[in-house]
Amino acid sequence: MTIPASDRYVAWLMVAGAAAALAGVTLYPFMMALRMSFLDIRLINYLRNPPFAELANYRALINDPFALRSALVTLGFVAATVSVQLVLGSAAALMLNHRQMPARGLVLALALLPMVISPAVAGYMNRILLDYLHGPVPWALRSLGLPAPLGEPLPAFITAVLVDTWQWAPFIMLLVFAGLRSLPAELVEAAQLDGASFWRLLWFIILPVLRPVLGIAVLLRATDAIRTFDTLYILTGGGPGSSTATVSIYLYQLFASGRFGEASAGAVLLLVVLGAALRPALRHVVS
Amino acid sequence: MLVNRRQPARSMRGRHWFVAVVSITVLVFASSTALSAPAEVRILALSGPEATYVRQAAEYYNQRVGPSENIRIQVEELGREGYFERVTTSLLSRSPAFDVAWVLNTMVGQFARAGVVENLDPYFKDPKLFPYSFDNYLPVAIEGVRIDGKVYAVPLWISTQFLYYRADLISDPQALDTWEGFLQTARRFTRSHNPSSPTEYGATIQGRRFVTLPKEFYIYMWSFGGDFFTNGRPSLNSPAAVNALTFYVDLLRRHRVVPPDAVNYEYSQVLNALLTGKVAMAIQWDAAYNELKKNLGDKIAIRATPAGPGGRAAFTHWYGAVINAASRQRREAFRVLAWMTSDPQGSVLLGRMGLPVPARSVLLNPEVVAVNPHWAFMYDFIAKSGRSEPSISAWPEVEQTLINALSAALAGEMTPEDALGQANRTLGQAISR
Repeated sequence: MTIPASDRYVAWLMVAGAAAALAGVTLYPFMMALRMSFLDIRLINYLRNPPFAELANYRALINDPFALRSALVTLGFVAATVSVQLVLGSAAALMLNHRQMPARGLVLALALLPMVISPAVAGYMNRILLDYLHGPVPWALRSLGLPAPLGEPLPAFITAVLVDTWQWAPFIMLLVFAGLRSLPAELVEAAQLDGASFWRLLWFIILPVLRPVLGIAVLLRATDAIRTFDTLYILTGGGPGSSTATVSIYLYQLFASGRFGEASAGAVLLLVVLGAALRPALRHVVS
Repeated sequence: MLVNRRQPARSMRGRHWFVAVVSITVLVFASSTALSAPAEVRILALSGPEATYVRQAAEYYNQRVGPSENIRIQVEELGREGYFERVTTSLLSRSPAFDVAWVLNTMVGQFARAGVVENLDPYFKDPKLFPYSFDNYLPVAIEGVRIDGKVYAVPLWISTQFLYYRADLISDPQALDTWEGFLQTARRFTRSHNPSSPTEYGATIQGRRFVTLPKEFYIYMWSFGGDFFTNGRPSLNSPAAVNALTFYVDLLRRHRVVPPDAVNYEYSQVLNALLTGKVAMAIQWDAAYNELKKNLGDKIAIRATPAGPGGRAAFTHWYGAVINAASRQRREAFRVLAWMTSDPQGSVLLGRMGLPVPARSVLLNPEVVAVNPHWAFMYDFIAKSGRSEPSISAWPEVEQTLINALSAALAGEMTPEDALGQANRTLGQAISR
């Protein structure tokens, strides 16, 4: 059925406003960042005519050991948080979906509470809870002979993953729970009638049907995890060392120290890398 | 039948006149109200003691002084994390949303060269705006905010770090005169070394990946004989500086006399550690003195930081108040700052509240010193051993690299030599630009 030209025109007109707004808040800043990435632009010459720097900013990033560290930390953080949250969130959703689950509504509401806390507040809250001298969590950990959660690079990284999981696993739980609620009951009943165990049911029926939902959950959480800034910055400032200094924190500190050209180059590089990595994932999810 | 058209026209003209008279009256009233409304000077300050002082001063000023000057102060308190970045973006965006901001002396140079803060020389020279003596300011404070021969900030708060220690527990404070004595005392008061220690740890450090980390390290560096430059060349990775960083890192990683998560501590956490009696001593900012004394009384005392092969060093920096070049009431903003720092009433008021304005009328005022007894010690300490960061416009870049490098050394990710090597390279690049 062909759409009349007048209707197409109206459709484009309706989309034009939103497209212009989107271009304003995404395309314009990107073009500015791209331009700045090729300039020797710092705080002191920001309002003057900063000179053209060719690829100097990109070279500076590649030669900065802290840049590479932040990229590796980000990769590790994304892999750890997404996988842990996927497993925990899905397990929680399955429990919540169980027909004998009592007070499902109340449990769901309580489980979603961490999600509604501002990430900065979550960072402050956990920083107090995890203070080695005064916090209840280290006190409990010490009795088990475990180290300070924020004292060394590896424990701090694990703690950061756990704090992020505490806040965002409920998001995965919510998505998967919604997927489970829309699972065709006949499929599950038929499998159960055939004598399928829970694990066979999960592996051969539920997970394959939920694959699109899980794909979207992974995509959303991965992009969020890459962008994580406030919780980590408040919790550890990116330390100890650079164990929790993700690319967001690294670029923020470049900007804060007046290295605008390098910060812009980092942002452009991040966009290019993410675009290349996410394109196949997005295509897979959409298809 | 004739229609009388005159009557409707006359009543219309009368109505027009009435509307015009009412409109003009309203306009005149509104404009005169606007003209007589006080100029509102908006000051940005960090959350914490900084904002507390400014709020108290603003309250006094708005009640007693502002009405006669037709000026009113409004304070905007911003969180410590991200404060300086917020000030930077606001200044660069040429936003007139605020008039005055507190900044560190090391930041004034870059703002001055970027052209986003006001040159204050003409204001200081105008007797109507500054009817006080310029020599009242401590020379060291003024030199720190003089960029290319011009003054770009009003010195507001001179600050240093003391060694705070539990006077009721440490019976031989003279041992703290040297780093070796400091270490031995710290071991004695760390429970893992001495199970009968009344405190859990002997000391703590400000190891968080934040601006306070290098400022504590400089005390060690200078006292071990290191410096930023030697014979005009960057020397952050000199053997003396590397020894200093090794000693600093060993407090955490080898001797374990500081809490294991001291890598996440800055001002507030160190203050809490002292207040709750978890540590026996710590190097901490002068701003903590009044609160510690209020809560611990004579149990807490201060000393100069330990001396090493390079002598003793009092890290000194100061907050300055800069006037936004985009502000629409720069003169009024300057009047407020002049009152706060040089007016006999204003500066002494702030001094009595606890703000160490770097001016003789405050730091050497017997009335003020009586309320802040540690200032006499601070003035003497700074006069004898005060040292500060170099005044170069690219300093924030160098500082960020130092923060990353020192944090990496504390975490065991880099050796002290590699960490300071990285920082030294950045310093070299910064001064060559």
